[in-house]
Amino acid sequence: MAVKTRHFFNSQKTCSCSMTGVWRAVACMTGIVVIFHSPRACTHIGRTMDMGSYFRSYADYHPEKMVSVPLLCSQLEEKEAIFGGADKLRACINYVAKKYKDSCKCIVVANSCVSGVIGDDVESITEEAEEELGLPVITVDCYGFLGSEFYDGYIKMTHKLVERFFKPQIKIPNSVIVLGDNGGPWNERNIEAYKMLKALGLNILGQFPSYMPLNELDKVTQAEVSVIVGGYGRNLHDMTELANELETKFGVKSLGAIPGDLEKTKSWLNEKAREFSREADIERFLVEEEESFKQKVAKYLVRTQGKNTVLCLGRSLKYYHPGFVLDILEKLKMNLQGIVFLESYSPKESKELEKMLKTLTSVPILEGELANKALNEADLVITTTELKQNLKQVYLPLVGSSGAWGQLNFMQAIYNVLRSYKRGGGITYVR
Amino acid sequence: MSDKHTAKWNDVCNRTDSCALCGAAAWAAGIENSQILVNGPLWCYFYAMRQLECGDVHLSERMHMTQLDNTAIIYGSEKCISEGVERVLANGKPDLLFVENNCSAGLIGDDLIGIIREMDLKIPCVAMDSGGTIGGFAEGFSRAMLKTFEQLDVGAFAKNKTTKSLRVNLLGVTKFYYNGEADLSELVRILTLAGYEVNTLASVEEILEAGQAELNIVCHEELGLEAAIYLEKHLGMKYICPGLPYGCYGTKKWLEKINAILPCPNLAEVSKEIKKMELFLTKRNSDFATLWQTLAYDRIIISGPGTTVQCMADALREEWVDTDKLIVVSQHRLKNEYCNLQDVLLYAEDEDTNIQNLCAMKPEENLLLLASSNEYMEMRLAKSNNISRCHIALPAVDSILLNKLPFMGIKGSANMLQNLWNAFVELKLKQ
Repeated sequence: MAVKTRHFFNSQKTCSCSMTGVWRAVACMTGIVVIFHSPRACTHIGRTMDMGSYFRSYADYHPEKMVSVPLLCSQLEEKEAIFGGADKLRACINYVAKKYKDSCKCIVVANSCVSGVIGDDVESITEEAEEELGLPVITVDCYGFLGSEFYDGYIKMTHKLVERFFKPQIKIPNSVIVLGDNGGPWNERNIEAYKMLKALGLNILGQFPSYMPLNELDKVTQAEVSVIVGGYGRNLHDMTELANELETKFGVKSLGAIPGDLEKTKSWLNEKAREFSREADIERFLVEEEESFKQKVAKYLVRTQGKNTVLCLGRSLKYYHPGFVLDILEKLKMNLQGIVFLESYSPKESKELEKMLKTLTSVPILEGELANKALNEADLVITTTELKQNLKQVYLPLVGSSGAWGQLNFMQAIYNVLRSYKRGGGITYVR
Repeated sequence: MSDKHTAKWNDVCNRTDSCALCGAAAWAAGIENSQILVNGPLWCYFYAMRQLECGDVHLSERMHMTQLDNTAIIYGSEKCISEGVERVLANGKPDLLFVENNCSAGLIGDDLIGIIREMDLKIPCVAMDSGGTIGGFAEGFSRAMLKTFEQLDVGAFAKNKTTKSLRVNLLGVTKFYYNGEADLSELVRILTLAGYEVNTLASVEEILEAGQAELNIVCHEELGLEAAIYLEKHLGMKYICPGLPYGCYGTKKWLEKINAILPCPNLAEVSKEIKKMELFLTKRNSDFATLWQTLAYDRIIISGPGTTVQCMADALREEWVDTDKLIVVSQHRLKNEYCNLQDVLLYAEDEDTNIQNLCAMKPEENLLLLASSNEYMEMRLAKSNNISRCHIALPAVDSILLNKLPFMGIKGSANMLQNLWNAFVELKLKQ
């Protein structure tokens, strides 16, 4: 019998919505007001994401330090589906310009699948409104889930901001602009990255997009260098393109991305230390970090060494690389009994994944009864998708991290599960 | 540009309301052994399902989706639907198959009912459009109820059947509202104690028997009134909108309203229980107040689903807490008036409703917030101090609800007063 997941989905099909990506790209950029050109309830999803992020920041003991910009909605209803939503969008833009006349310096319009299906010419409406109102009214050609995903909305809106607001500037010596999200500047994921940049003697001017007020966007191109935090695969690729664009057009030199594990981060930091003549500072920094890393791993090993686990994979390889997990399991000296492919993969993707795994490990790929037997006998299961069976599961993080934090955080989650004497299963989410 | 639509535009932070897709699924999920298939993208399905899982942790076993993508929107979703139905039925035949289109699937014009009929499934099926263009949770729930009556042909089933004496239908109740399951049990308990036979429409059989009741009792008006009007029009059934029974006195009034239309044999039994609870609460209240002083706030804000907040408002003031100012923020505009004792009644969709402004107060004042996590987050962002809160609505991400103790009815009176006292004491200890 195949291993069942709690929720069935096809990893090859669209899994997210671009509208929330547009929202996320500008969510804390004071001076912007966002309109979802959509039914009202779509804003509920934007708001739910915000709420999750707000309370999660308290759960992590690093409360958010910025608040979200206003989010409104053109409130498409059944009649607009027939007659078009252009009039309603125009009126909503006008309303925003009046209501937020003192604080709004730019209106961003995110388009839903509904506006895409009914065929509203949002580009023309925003151009018209911009001319009439005398303030930037911008949009991107993403329509909900129609041919685009969260990151399409996110990166397209980011490029639009660059196109509209950036200009070449005189550089501030030893300054850096951080690119990417990773939960925001206050988030635990970024604290280590910010420490590294400080050790390199760099003054952080801000984090773009999302976390800089509109009137401070000038700072992005005043930076001497940029660095990318977080991300893997598709989103890392997109942010790298952004960094390259900033370098080519505005002379902000790209330092690339801070890698997502200690060894690679060490090489990256040593290389940058030579570039900035900060070898001594970085050496000190790395000694401390390595010592701390070693101590933590030693603590985890007490409970992880020799424990049996199974790895269940079902997420698209666009957003995830299994090498990360295999490395962690090796560091924790755990016995990986097998790898199980979940039902979300197409046969083609399964073959590609199998080929890739053969280059990384000799651990067998398990199916049917063998898979279920291994799962039931494992001390814990590491998975990309929640399993239906009541097993102790650790859910792989959705977002890649910078530096050693991501590794340690994942190890901590495994340690926490193995520390527990509680009977029964349950899932532990790795942040 | 036209301003004719401005009345409904407001920052989304004043209101979170999931879409009709979620509401329709909530109705269907309340039917025993039903299976739900959402014809839409993963994102819309997932957000709806995560909300509904608050009312039924096993819902993912009964709620599925077709995971539409761009191709399906261009070429039609028939294949996705038939594959989805096959996957659902592979787990066995349900008592009811409920298939709903999300907004964009509804717009492309696929004949959902025709497609399902063509499959000749030989089980009761209901199919409908239920995207965000038709409205929020309540509109979806309400429409799904009507479509179920129509497509199962409740009218035809009622022909030649005799009305059952003292049988009542409860319309507009759902376990997918916050604490809904516990409240529903209490309503059924009280009505049964009073001598009625209660039909909650929680199975296909009960739905088909809807026409055999003597009276329809509309509970949450935003969910159930349309169904009552439908049953009156098509089956000539009487209905009453008595609101919801909060507090002991509120429960007494509620039951008297029903009794006035359809006299019950055991009203005295219920009155006796109410009196006993009133005496108990009065005594415990006085005892506790001797130490902690009177349970009172300078201001109370109650925000949530329309019927909930309007009915709870009077009980708050008449039975539980004293205040200088009682502000009611209703998420729905209702046809009937349910509250008399509030100082202010606002509607969440109105422009001048601003939760942050409502929470702003002098440092020496205190406030009680009865709402969801959404309002609580706004209140925290307003940096207001001296605030107690109790959750009465979804979303509830910062408070866990495990016990099934009602807010409504006689048992609910004790539970609510207990929650209110504990929140009050906690606030005093924080100072």
